[in-house]
Amino acid sequence: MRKNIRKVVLSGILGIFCISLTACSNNKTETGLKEIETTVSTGNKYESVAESDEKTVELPEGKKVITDCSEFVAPTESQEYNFDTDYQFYMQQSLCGVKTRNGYVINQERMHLFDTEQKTYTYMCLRPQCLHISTKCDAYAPTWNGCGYQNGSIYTVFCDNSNDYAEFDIVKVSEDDQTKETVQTVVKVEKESEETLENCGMDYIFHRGYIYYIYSIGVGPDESEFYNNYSNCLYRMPLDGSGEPEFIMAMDTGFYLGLENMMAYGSYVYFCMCDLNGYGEIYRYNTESDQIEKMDIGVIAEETYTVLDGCIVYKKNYYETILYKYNPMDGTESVFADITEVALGDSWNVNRDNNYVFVYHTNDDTKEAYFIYLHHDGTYAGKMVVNTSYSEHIWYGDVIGGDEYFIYKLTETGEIMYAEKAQLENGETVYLTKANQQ
Amino acid sequence: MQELFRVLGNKKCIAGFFLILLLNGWLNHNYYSQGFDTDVYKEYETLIEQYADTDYINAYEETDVLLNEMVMDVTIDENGTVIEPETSAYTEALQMVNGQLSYIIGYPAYLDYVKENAETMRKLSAFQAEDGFTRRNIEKTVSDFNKLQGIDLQLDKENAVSAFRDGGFSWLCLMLCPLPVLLVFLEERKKGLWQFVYATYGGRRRLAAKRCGILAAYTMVSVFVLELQRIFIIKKYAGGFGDVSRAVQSNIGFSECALKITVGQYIALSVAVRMFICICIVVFLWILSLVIKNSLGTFAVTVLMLFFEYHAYMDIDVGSVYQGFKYVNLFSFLDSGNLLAEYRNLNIFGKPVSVSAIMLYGVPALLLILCLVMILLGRRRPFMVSENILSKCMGRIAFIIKPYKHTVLAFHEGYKIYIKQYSLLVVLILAVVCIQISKPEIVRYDYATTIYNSYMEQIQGEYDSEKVEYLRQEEAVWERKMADSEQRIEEYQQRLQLGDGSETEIFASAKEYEREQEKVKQYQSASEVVGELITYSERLEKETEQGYFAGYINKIGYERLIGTKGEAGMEQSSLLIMATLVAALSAVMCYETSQNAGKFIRSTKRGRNPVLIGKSIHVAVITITVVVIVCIAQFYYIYGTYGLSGYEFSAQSLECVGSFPLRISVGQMLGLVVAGRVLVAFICAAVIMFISAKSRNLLTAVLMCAVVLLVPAVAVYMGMEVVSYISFLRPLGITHFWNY
Repeated sequence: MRKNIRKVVLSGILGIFCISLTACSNNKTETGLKEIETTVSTGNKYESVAESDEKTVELPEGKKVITDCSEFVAPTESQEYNFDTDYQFYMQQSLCGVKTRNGYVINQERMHLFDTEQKTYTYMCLRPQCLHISTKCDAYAPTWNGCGYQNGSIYTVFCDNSNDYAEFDIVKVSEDDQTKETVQTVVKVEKESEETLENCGMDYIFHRGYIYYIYSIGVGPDESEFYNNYSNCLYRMPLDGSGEPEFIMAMDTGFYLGLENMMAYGSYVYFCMCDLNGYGEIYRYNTESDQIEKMDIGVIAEETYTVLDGCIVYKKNYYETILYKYNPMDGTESVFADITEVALGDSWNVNRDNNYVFVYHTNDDTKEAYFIYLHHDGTYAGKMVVNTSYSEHIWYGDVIGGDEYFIYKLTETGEIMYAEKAQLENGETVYLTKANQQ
Repeated sequence: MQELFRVLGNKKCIAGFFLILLLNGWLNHNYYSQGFDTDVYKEYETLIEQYADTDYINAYEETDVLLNEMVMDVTIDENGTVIEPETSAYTEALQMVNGQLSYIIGYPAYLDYVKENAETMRKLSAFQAEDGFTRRNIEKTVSDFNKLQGIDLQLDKENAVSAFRDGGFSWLCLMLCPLPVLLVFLEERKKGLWQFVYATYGGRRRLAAKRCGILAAYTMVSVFVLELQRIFIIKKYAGGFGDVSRAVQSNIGFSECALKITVGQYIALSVAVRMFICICIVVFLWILSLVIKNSLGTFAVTVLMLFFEYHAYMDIDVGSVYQGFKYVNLFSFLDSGNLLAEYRNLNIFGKPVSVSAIMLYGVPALLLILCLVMILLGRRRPFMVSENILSKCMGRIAFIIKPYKHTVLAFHEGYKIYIKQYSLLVVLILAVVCIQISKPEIVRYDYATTIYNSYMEQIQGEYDSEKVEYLRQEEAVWERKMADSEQRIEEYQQRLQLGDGSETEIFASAKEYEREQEKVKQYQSASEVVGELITYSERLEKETEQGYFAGYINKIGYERLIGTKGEAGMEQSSLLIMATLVAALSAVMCYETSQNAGKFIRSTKRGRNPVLIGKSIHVAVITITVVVIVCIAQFYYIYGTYGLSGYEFSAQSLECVGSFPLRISVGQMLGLVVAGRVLVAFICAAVIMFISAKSRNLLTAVLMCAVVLLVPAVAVYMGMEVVSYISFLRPLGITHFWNY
């Protein structure tokens, strides 16, 4: 009897041990991402890799794409802007500009703070003894293409290329004491070649607790390798580090990373399926219905669209001086504004803030860079000129925007120019002022 | 005093001290003998003497002129290449002196900069809240640096001070130096003496206080001697420390040091902190041995604590939200030279407290607390009165093998080793850890690796001349594609130069141009991969001719298993094997000695030989099990993550072991690696058994095994190459023999 009990117990222990061993099975299929063959038959015994057009990876099925506007699902959640959680539509976050409670933060390898009271900008390092030259400086932030603000913290993505892999990590920077914390790794790619990061990038925005991102690591423009290591796809991932990347959709081959002009308003994340020339169709991801809605406005210039009260305000071409307004819910298009008379020179991108829509222009003849700003109903409001005394730089300027202030960064020197939004109200031409650096 | 002399006079204590002194000298000699050029130092010394008593501004200008003249000696050859004159020892020394002079002259301006910077920060609207940490930090920084106003900086030799600041690997010997006396105390623990000591005047508390004093005194003297030895070695290679009464800020790299101290005081403070922290370590270990009445538990807690502290010190960034763990850290305090030279305030309940202050006040305070705890705990009976929960649980499992323990001596020994000494538990824990770490990951590859994998999918298998032909055709296709793209680049270039068309068209051309350039890089990369595969094919062809069963094998997984990319993984797994063996086998031989049963066993009819044979069998079983579990986990992880194939082909087919001397297959070679690891693990097990046999106490055995096997292994893993000669870490990895 006692021997039998022993056998039973022993068998039980062995069984548990076997089950625990089988528990460590291959979890490769968890995300549904699977490598597939990349070859094409050439009639030979072996198939050519060089002449293959097939993709290197089998992509998972993305969210459903709806093209008929009558099937679009209207949001039920509040579409009101929330400073703590929402994408800051008045800042160009892809240019590393973000508004915090302390002021406007502009990142150029080191974070700078534009102080709205002093009208100065300074390193976001609060150690008076720091010379801001080492990587130990609190302002040091090797950010990759942007930053965002969520609930009292600045979020950004750092790139680590120092080891045998290339890695993008979400980093949270406290707006109060500038302490940094790595929240989660977005993607990690094993690299054999040191050149991998030469054609490597990631674009992202932060909105309502998520990061929405598209990356491209070591992927060239050749179509067969376009999705290698699952590059060139739109994903989202919760910022609290609680979840895995969620596949939203694969970009079309020919999509050019960096020109998708991603932005978010309310329950939608907008992006342009742009080609290398900066033209493409507009899509939006409805975070409530979990579907993708394609805008029926055809191919437009990617930097020339913005979203206003759920409608898309856009130009069909960069050089065009007529702005259109498209309502996705009923599919109607109308002329928003015709600025032909006031827009001299070349017309460029469109941005907006709480009160105005800004259209950027450069004039070769007068060597002038300026913004035409319009009221939200499309009527002309005025002109804002980038100070012409800096004409040698104006062609290399970055627009960053802002709500109470308008901030403009000169790319070459990193200098900051600004205008108070209150100045725009009287309709006179406003000149941007150079901010002092402390 | 009698107790002090008795302990210090112990031959193990004396031998241990001299052994550590020898090790310290060897490590420091290896560390500091590199990086200092004697010729440069001689020139530097002359220049320092020349400019030390002159006006620094004039001296700076003079050295600047001299350096500029040297720069002007630059010549340009016919191809337009700039040829710089060879940097002589004099030039290098002059640059160093010039840099020092520039720093000394600029230091008052730096102090003003701190003030001005703080003033600017105060004005920022964002940080005007008086009760905020940021604001307080600014105020404190200004106040601390204000104290440095007016200090007189002197030009003097600074190499030695910088070398002293960089402690190198001296911390290792400092951590080890109190161990001999600790081991002596542990060996003196004998059952039955407790009542005797308790009955004496003052009882155990008096003895605990005395032991605390002896530990502190011995550690202080040891650390002092070891640091003195380091200073002499630094002096030999990096030159003298110069005038030690000069302000420490006179040296470049100390600009952020906010303490108003001289070089001499800096060295003394640094050594003192190291003394205190070493005493803290040894007192803490003693407390652990009192609180955790199980040698395995003490070992596990110590290892876990050191592991956590080291990773916190190394991996947490300076600006991290967890920076407190980095600075208030054992290894950080052992690196006191650096910590004293750095200025950083930590947020302690909203108040800024400098890390140097935490160290200077916190470490002695911690030491005081630990000493008090040690004395108070000293009253407690150090031996188990009743079985702990672990023993009870193990006892429950024991009934499975209990019926055999008295019938066969080998089973009886097995019962003691697996159950009473917790070896079974240790192996089970290892199995659980291995299951966790062997879970395959999803890996994503770069373009070159993807192309490589695509080709390997086509050609993997036996060597075949058709495959070489196929690769050559593929290489031609990539080159053709590259040529097409280059032609298109030329077209775009022409279009851009002409500037025809609208802004948009020019923009588009520029983008197309960029895209084609990227394509060329991509095709070039693919072509290089194919080129490498063709070279690989040529090698396989030669091997086939030599009679090997050569085949195409995907290298990705093998490089990470037995190649150079797998070295780190191999070292980690070897460390895991060693730690498990130490935990599982340290008590094997000293178990009877600690129970005072050694003489009894020897006096039996057949003596201790049957017992030894029985023990050896179980030690061999445990060793093999441990190595096999770790190897399977490692193999399974690589197999699941990267894939492994082609086991039937000759080992020479693998690129990472191309020159392998034996005519065996890949599968056999993998088996050979495991067999080699088992063999080395047997040697480790033999060392553990030897140490265990010489120890009278279980904890002594564990500590000694850890010191002899684990400490050198950890040192090698951390990068102390020189220690690899006395460590089993790399031999246990086996692959190191062909990777380097």
